[in-house]
Amino acid sequence: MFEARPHYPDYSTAPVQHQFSPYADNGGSVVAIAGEDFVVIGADTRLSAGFSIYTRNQNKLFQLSKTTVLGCSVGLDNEGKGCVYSYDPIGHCEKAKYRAGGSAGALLQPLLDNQIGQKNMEIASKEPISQEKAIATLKDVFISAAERDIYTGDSVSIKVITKDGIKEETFELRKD
Amino acid sequence: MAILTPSFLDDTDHARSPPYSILKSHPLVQKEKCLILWIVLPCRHNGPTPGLLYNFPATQIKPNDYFTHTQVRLITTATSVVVITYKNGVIMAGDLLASYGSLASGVQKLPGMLKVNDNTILGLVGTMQIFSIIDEECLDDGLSLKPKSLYCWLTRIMYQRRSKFDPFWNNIIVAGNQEGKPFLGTVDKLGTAYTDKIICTCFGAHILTPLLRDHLDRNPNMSLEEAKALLEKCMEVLYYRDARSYDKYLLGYIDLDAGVKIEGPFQIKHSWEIAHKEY
Repeated sequence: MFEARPHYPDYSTAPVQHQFSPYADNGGSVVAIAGEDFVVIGADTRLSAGFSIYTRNQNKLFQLSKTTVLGCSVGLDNEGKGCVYSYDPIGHCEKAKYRAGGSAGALLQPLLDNQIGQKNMEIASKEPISQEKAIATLKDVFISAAERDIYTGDSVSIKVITKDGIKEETFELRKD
Repeated sequence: MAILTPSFLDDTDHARSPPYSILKSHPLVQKEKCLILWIVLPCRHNGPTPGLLYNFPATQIKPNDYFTHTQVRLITTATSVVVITYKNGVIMAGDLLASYGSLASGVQKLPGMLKVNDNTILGLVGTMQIFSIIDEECLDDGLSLKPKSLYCWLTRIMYQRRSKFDPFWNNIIVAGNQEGKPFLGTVDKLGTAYTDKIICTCFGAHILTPLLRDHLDRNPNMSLEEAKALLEKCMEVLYYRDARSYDKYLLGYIDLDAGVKIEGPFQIKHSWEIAHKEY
């Protein structure tokens, strides 16, 4: 049926129907890298919705026990080795050595495959990754993510889990 | 298959509202062998329908249209609330306008901020219905909630209602004195919650957050007077730029020493001289 009458929204006496979606994407990325006797996890601290940044210092890492941090699920296994468990909305669960997730997950995982996993390399180092190299790589990939992903930025909060406990540090990212 | 046009009806004045009974009684429709092609041919545009009471803008109101569900209801709303932490507390500003869509429905009777107890104030943006819920469930229970506890409780209430698909259409801001430290947190209709040193809602989130972040970076330890002056400037910027704002505002603050105060209404000094300037 055609409506020939002009429509004046401001004068309408009909009830206004508001669309309600119970979901929101608040962005943010998390990266975890496991080594022989340690595991390092980092998450950015930006909380956003669309083009608005709600806050620049939102913590996204939660300590569950002395040797476990939830971001991706990260910790030391019962042999004291570093391990990363990832779990996604579909239900896919996997134990891994390194993982990137969140808004820049698709951007960072291939980078980790290359830098940490050394996939498809003819001369791959057999040496397990050192703690310093893991932290440096983690910082590098967050810098890269902040460059291209508007939902990742402000700063990264990093937690390093070893048998001696959890060390924390923050690392500043670009804030635009 | 036949096509019926309005020409089979003798009363063309009814073209605005199809007389369903006449259509239904048509033999072809009854045999379900007909495609009804209804072309509305109003005899005149924008005017009253002959023989009917003039009902501008010609929409029908049925009693059941209102208050059927949270998502379909008349809402009066308060708009931008601006909150910042200063050296010795938290300060909140909000104008006194209650809007009904884009229609300003006057100075609101309920303020957009309320004192909860001696260490907490609450800022509310959105529908005014949640006032009564907070009033009943939290203000009258004789307990003195700390701001963090109230904030935490509100995140659960808001998230529960969004999960029932019947959300409270609000942004709630909790400001207070949490064991001698300024506390500022907010929760929206989805249960998304965060704490920060600056919280602005609605249009203020777009034009005032950058201004305030910049200001707080330069001067992280503002005095109460500096904070009041800053918020006055904010309300002025908002009044010039936000169509749904008003030139009178309230200030609510929690000073770690002086306690909770809600002051105002204050009048924004504004000038539209520039609009009359000839170049």
